[in-house]
Formats: sequence, structure tokens, C-alpha cells
Amino acid sequence: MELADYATDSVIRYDLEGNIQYSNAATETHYGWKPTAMLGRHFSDLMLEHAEASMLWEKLFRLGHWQGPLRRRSHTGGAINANVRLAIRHDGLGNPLDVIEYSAVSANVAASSGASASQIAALGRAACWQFSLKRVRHLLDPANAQLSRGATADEWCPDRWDTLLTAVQVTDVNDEAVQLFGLPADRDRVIDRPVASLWPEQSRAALGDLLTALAAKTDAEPETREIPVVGRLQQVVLTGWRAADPRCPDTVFVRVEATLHAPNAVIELEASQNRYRNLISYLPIPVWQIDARAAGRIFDRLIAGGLSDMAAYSEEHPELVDLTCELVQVFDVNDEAMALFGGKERSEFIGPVAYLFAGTPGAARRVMLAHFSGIRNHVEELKVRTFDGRLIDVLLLMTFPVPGERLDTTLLMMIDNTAHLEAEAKLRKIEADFSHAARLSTLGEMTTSIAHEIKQPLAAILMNAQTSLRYLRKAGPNLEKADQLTSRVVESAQRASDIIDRIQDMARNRAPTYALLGLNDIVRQCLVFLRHESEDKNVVINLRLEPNLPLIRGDRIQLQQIIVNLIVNSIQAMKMAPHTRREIYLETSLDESDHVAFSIRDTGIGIATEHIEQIFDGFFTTKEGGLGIGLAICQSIVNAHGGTIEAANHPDGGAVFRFSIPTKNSDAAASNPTSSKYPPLHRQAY
Amino acid sequence: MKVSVLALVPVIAVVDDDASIRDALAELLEVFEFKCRVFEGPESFLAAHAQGQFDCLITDLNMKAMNGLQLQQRLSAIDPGLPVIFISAQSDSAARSNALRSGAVAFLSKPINDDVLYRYIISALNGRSSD
Repeated sequence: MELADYATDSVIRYDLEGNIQYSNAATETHYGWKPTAMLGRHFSDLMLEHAEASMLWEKLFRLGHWQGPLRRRSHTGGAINANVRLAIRHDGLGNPLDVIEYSAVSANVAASSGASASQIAALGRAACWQFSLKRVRHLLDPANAQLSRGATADEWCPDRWDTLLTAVQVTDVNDEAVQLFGLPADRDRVIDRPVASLWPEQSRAALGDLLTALAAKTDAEPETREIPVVGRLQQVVLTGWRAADPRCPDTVFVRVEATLHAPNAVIELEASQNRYRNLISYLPIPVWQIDARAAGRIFDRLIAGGLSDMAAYSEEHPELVDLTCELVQVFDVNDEAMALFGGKERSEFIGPVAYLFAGTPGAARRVMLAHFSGIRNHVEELKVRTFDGRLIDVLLLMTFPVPGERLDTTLLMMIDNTAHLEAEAKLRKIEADFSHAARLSTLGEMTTSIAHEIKQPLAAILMNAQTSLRYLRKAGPNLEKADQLTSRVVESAQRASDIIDRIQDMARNRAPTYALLGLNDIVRQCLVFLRHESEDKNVVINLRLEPNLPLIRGDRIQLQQIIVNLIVNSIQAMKMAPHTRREIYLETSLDESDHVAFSIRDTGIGIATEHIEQIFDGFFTTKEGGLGIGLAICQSIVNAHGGTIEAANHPDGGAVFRFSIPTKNSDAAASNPTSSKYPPLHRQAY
Repeated sequence: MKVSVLALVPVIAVVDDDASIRDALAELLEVFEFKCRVFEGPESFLAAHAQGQFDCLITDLNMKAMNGLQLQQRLSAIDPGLPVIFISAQSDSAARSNALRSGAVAFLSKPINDDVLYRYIISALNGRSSD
């Protein structure tokens, strides 16, 4: 309590029972009690009436707070009129810690008869700050001050008071200051911080001016500055003086006295601040509290200078983003935030916000633009670099204060997405593996068809080559024929090679690649595979492809997989049907909601009604030796393409499967698989 | 060889729905110095067919609408003397024995050897000329 020793009011600390634990030098001045003589005494020892003392103490614990005129007992036993304020201090959890008394002997006894209630209230309410000017010596040199003012030609450069108050460090504050200025209750979060982040906006200039004047002085004589109104405070008087002790040449004290508009405002404010602080400390989400007023001031100056297009301006002046990141300061974090970043000390987190955006290029600029635009919330996904070197995926949520709220507090929250994204990636891998297994299984069922398909060009190659040899070996070689036949060999070899490529595409385990595709082309490619399969099983395929279908965005192999799978299923479903009735109808169309649709109808036995509900479930099969993943995979592929698939029985018999996929133009295409799980609604457009 | 004594060049019909195979067979038969007519499917062949017009039929087994075996059945009624050679990409043993039982000269699996095909055509033509 070094600071209190400099105070002009008497300051006494009691334990919860009223035993005195500390008193300052002013106590002796006012009441004659020496600090050493005070220890071990009780609150009631300072009162003329013991009964009044115990009543008052009780009242204090009921209200949490008491103030008013009291008749005090001096060390000689005489009566002294004093204005006294008593307050219970609480620890971080809200438990009472001790009782602090501020008092001053009233010069005029008439004051107790109530000449001015607000004046009396103000007397006990001196907030004290202790500052170190160590880092500002050169700034306060009158010659330099002029120089730095001249350098701020660029409108967004920090002004003189920004520069000065950012360099002035708080070395101590008393509880009055904590209350009056709404400072963090934990003093460690105040000490050694620049006063710029803690001092109210409206009285910046007065403080800056006072500190400049104090720096120029050589003695400890006080200087005062008066401000008529600051927020709820009226007649604010700043009194500053330099430390008299030559061992601390850079230490200055500033005492703030004021009258409140509403007498209970401070108490209410304190209560709401405590609630707010506790709320944030115990939120199970990492929370950063940020003072972004410096950015606000820069924006105000830019707007005053006529700027409207911040996006373009910040593009041209990337240094503006860097500067904003330096000026905007984190002043508090909760335990969750420390755990997320793997930090050990809160002090690692306090300071410029730059470290929060270091993992994602462009994030700082987007946040700045969001702030500039005046919106309340900003949400984005980003990667952050933690203090122990990990790169993690988080969802960033920022709430900028709007006028009417505490403008010095911007809330920043991060939700760890890493585990979620990893799980999603694993799930995608499993899906891909299943999809692959299903393709291999389908290919396995098509081996005769595939063999046939490759043998055709090979047979043509062989025959053409043999014929060509015969022409070449004749007495008069027919080179023209040999040329023609060899060209056909080349064509057929190319065809064989294409078929093998397609089979390899189907057989390979690969990540889907999205491109613009025509559904009709895909259907035709599938039929190349399946022609012989259907011929072999005496199935006639009827094709009705709607011409000029719009393109869809999708993965060619996956879409082929669905269609091949559906056709193979239909062919197999008709094994039992009589030869004359083995038909498949394939149709493509554009439906009214701008989806491209594919439907397949067979003349098989249809789907048993009790199976129709489960038909797309994984591991559901009626086929002997079937894996039961074909249709489940079909459904997951269609869904991944933003579409739907359904199964039904046709009124004329046989099963109908139909899937539809949004075209690249329709709205639903926006929710394709590359988009995130967060609805685009909440995102900011940059 | 008996072929050389035939007054006319034998005409061979080829039925296959795969254009590349059809064309390759036509070229091969040409270098063998046979006459050849190609058909895309059994229907167009049957439409052009008249008894005695063709000396031999080479047909694919797997085709749309009507397969090679069904074509063989039809021919056994309208042109029983026409020798038939099957070619197939599949070595389907049931189809093979079926074809041979119904009187096919040969059942060849793709890819086919030119000398083997030539020998079967000659034997088919000889069998026909000795009827």
C-alpha cells in the first residue's frame, strides 16, 4: 500500500471483524493515531460510542458500503468530525476480503448538517493513480513534442496524446481508481500497462496535458486540471504531483476527484462490472477482451478526412493494418483462452492483438474492415499459431461495442475447430474408402463385360495386323492397304487404352475432384461399360436423354459410379424375369426446381414394400454375397452433390430409382461439399 | 485344293455389331481372296439373305435383340445348308456346345488367329461343296 501513504485522506484497512491491519500516514495527520499504534486496535476504538460502532459495522455488511459523517475519537480521546466512507473488498470469487475506510476530517462542522450532500460524497472518493514516465522522457521534452506533432501529417497516424499515453505506464492504482475507472479487479492486469488503454477517452487531453506539465517541473508542487463533465462524473479535478523521493525521479501521482450525477451510479456500475467479469472468467469459451478504441480513433480521423472505401484504402496502405494491430490491445483473457493458446502467464496474452491473427494472412485486415463497417459481430474461420507452436483451426467470433455500451471493450472468442475438422476429415476418408469398396465390388460384378470390352479392340488389332502382314509379304506388297490397316490398328489400340483408363479410374482410391459436367455424357460413358453386360443378360436398354441439359458441378467418377451401380442392380433384379420382358428405361430431364434428374426403371420384380424404407441404409442387402453398401454409397454421393435420391415401384411393375442434382446455376449448388458447416448467412462478405 | 476348282469366288457373310471387328474381318477375307458382305446385325443379314446367296456365315455370338445362337436357329429353318462359324469374346462353354451341337463349323474365341480362321472357312466351303 505504498501509494496510500502518499494520499491526503486517511486510509485504514480492517479485517472482516473490524481489526485494524493497516493505516496510512494521513491517519496520523487527521486523528493523531500513529500507524504502529493502530495495529491491533478495533474499528470501535476509533468511535466515541461503541454501540454506534457495532450498529454501523452491521449496516456496512448489510449494504456492502457505507458513507457519511461520523464523530471519531482522536488518540487523545477527543471528538473529531470526519467524512467517512467504508467499503467491503471482494476477492475474484466474490467473497468478502476486507474493509477499507477512507476518511478526512471535515474542516467545517456545518458540513455534517448537510450543506451539500454531493460535496460530502465526493470528499471520500479520491481515486489515485501512480505512473512511471520513464519511457516518455524524450516525448515530454518540449522540443521533441513539437517535432512529433509535426510528424503526424498523415491523418491516421496516432496523435500526440496516443503516443504519450501509450508510453506512460501505470505502476499502481488504489481501489477508488479501480471502481471509478472500471479497471480490472485483478491489479496485475493494470500494473505496467499503458495508461492509454485504461484512461477514459474524453479526458485524455487533460491527463496528457497534466503529465506534460508535471514532467517539466522540478519540484513536488501539485498541478491541477479541471474538466466540467466526463461521462457520469461532474467537476472532475485532476491533481498531479511528482514523487518527492529523489530515488524515483520518474514517478508521478494523479488524484482524481469528482462529483457523480447519481450517487449510486458507481455502486451499480461496480456491481455490473463484477458480474460481467465473473461471467467472462467462467465462460467455458476462450475469451479475449480487447480495447479497440485506438482503431476507432483512426477510423474517425479517416472518415473525417472523407474516406469511405476502407477496403481499397487498406489495400493501398497495408501499414495501416499493421499499425492498428499494434495499437489495439488485449487487456484481459480468461483461463480457457490461456489453455487454448498453451500460455502459462496472463501477461503473455496482454498487449497488441497482432499475435491473434498471425496464423492467417488477411485475417487482421478483414477484422479491421468489419470494425470499420460499424457492424456488431464478425465471424470467420481461421488458423491461429499458439504459443507452444501448434497451428490450430478456430472459429473466431468478435463483438464490437456499439454506442451506448462500454466502447473500451471488444469481445473476441475462439472456438476450437481442430478436433471437429479432424473428425470430419476421418469421416470423409471412411466414406471414400466405402465408396471405393463399392466401386470395386461393382467392377467385380462387371468382369465379363469389361473383358469383352477390351477384347473387342484387341481382336480388331490382331486381325488388322495379320491382314497387313499378308499384304506386305505378297510378291508385290500393297503398301496402301498396309497403311490403311495400320491406321486402324492405332485407332483400336487407342480405344483399348481408353477403356483401361476408365476402369483404372473406377478402381483407384482417390479424392473427389469437382468439375462442370454434362449428365448425358456421363450416362453414355456408363453404357460403354455396360453394353455387353446387358446384352449378355438379354436386357434391352432404352435411352431417352433430354438434349441441352445445363451442366452440373460434380465428380465424374462418383456420378458414373451411381449410374453404373443403379444399372447393374436393375440388370441383376431382372435375372428372374422372362426374357421377353427384360427392359431398362433410362431418362434424363430438367425438373422445375432447376435440378438435373436421372431416372432408371426396370421390368424386374420391383422392391418389396417392407424393404423400401431401408433400401438406402448401409449393409442392407437382399443379394446373396452382396455387401449392401452400393445404394448407401449412392445416396451419400448424391447428397454430397447437394441432391436427393429416391426409390419407388412403378405402377406398371418394376423398380424406379431417381436422383436429381442442382445445376451450377441453382441456389442449392451453393451448399456443395466444399462449403463449411457454418451457414453462409452469418458470414461477412468482404 | 478343291477351292481352286470352284468356278465362282465364294461369298462370305459377316455379322457383327462392332464396326472395328466387322471391318477387320472384311479386310482379312479380302486378302484371303474371298468375296465378303458385312452386316451390323442378324436382322439386316436376314433381310438381305436369300438361299444360296452366301457360301458361309461368320457371326458374333453376343448381339443386341437377337444373338448368334438365335440366328443359327432361324437359319436352320430357312437355309439349313449354310455353314456357320461363331466368333465370341467370351469362352462361354454352354453357348459353345450349344452352337456345335446345332451344326456350327467352329466356335472361335476372340482374338482369333488368321490361319485358324482360314482353315475353318476352307473346311466349311468344302463341306458345303460336298453336300
